[in-house]
Amino acid sequence: VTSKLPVVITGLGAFGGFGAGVEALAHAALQGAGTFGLRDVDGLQQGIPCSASDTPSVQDVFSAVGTRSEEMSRRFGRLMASAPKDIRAAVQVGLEAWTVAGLWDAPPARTSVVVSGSNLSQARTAALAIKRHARKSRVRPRWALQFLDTCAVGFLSEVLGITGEGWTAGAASASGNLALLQAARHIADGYADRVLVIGALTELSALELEALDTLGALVDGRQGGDPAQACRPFDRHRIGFVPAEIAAAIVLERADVAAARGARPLARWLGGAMRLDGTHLPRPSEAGEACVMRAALEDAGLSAAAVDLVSAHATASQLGDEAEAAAIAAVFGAHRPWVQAPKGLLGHGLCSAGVIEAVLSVQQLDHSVIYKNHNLTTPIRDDLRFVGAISSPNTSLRTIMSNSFGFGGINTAVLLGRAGE
Amino acid sequence: MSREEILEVVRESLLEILYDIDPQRVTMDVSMKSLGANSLDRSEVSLDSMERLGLDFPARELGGLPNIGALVEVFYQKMQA
Repeated sequence: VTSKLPVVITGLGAFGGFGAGVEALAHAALQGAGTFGLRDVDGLQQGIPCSASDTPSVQDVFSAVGTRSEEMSRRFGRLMASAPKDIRAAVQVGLEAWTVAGLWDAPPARTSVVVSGSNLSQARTAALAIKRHARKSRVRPRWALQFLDTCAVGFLSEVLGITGEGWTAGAASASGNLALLQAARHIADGYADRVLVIGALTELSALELEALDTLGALVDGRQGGDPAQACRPFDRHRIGFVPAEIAAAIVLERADVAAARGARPLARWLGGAMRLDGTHLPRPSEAGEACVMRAALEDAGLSAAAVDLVSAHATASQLGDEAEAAAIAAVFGAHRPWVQAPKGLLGHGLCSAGVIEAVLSVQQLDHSVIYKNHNLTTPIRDDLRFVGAISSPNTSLRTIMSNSFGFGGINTAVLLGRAGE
Repeated sequence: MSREEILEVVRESLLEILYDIDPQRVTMDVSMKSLGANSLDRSEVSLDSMERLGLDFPARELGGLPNIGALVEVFYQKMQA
């Protein structure tokens, strides 16, 4: 561990139902302003709670870059005009993180980009198939580029001038954490000085929603009520996961390179791990989750007692939350770090979940605050120290573990630390 | 439908993609390429126009046309058929 090059976080970006930008995200986290609505899907339960986001306009995409926005609109406006929602959101958060990190003069060949997620065009695929089946529309050649997830990588490379390596990282709902982990290893191994990690916005079509609904994983909205209260991670009355259209970005950078250019580190990358459970099923494993949390601690060279807060995967699914709560209790025992479930605030960003939740963790470390848990009124068990219903300053917050688990026995955990320790 | 009316349909389709150009520049004797449209843009304009005109034929028949007038002529002939 000690032989690896230290890595820090120097840039953040966020986009979702809460608005555009990390400040909008922090505001939502503090205020708990509901960003949820209801979606009707023909043939399914009416009014599925979800957190949708609007397609950013071409101007919105470039608004994060301040005085450069007009020039960038002129250069890349046509490019973005033909880009779908998920790619516009990816570029928007990428530009925000780039600007926060102050990277406009960074050497392009020493920078890489990774987009977390796979099957990023499901909603568009379904819509095109319906139109084509009805013979209402010929498929555009642009689709030959856009059906590939790496299309987003190309857009980011083109707009930001990145010429290092670029790829997508697929690990179901753990894609975001996998992307962060690969990015940190890529830098620590010397292949690049920095990596822009993008958590891709996941837009589900009726096909995925119906399958997830029948599987019993999707939120059961039949009882109605306020959609902002539908996502209840770690609560006894949880009713399934609430999908959220969220994009997020994080710049990971070699600590010495960031310091040399005078960049302010927002947090430190401490380590992380990924482990498989030996299954292709959506079958959460307490043992597998405990194993990956311990492996992440080992990678970071930390004991369980060093962790102040666990930002849990906790989707509000019946079995998943139970397994994770038990795994956290097993790993941390009497130490009892704070346990937080960011999906109560955000919903489940799916491909982007690990990245947006890492953004929240970095903000908490940077601002010495612990954001409240949303919709957790009757906790699943009483031996975990769940964060309460009020956000509060916490100057002793130094280390956060952020979990992400995915269908198919995919377990990941990453560790982030306060800057300047 | 006259050739001028078809040109208007092509112009509308083109301005949805090249939204920042002067509509007056979209004339029969210019090429979409010279207006800044790449091959994906050109194909999209052709297919959009085709659908607006109620036509449906494989897009490969539209390859290699020298200018917007030639595209309009193909559409005009298809509409007479």
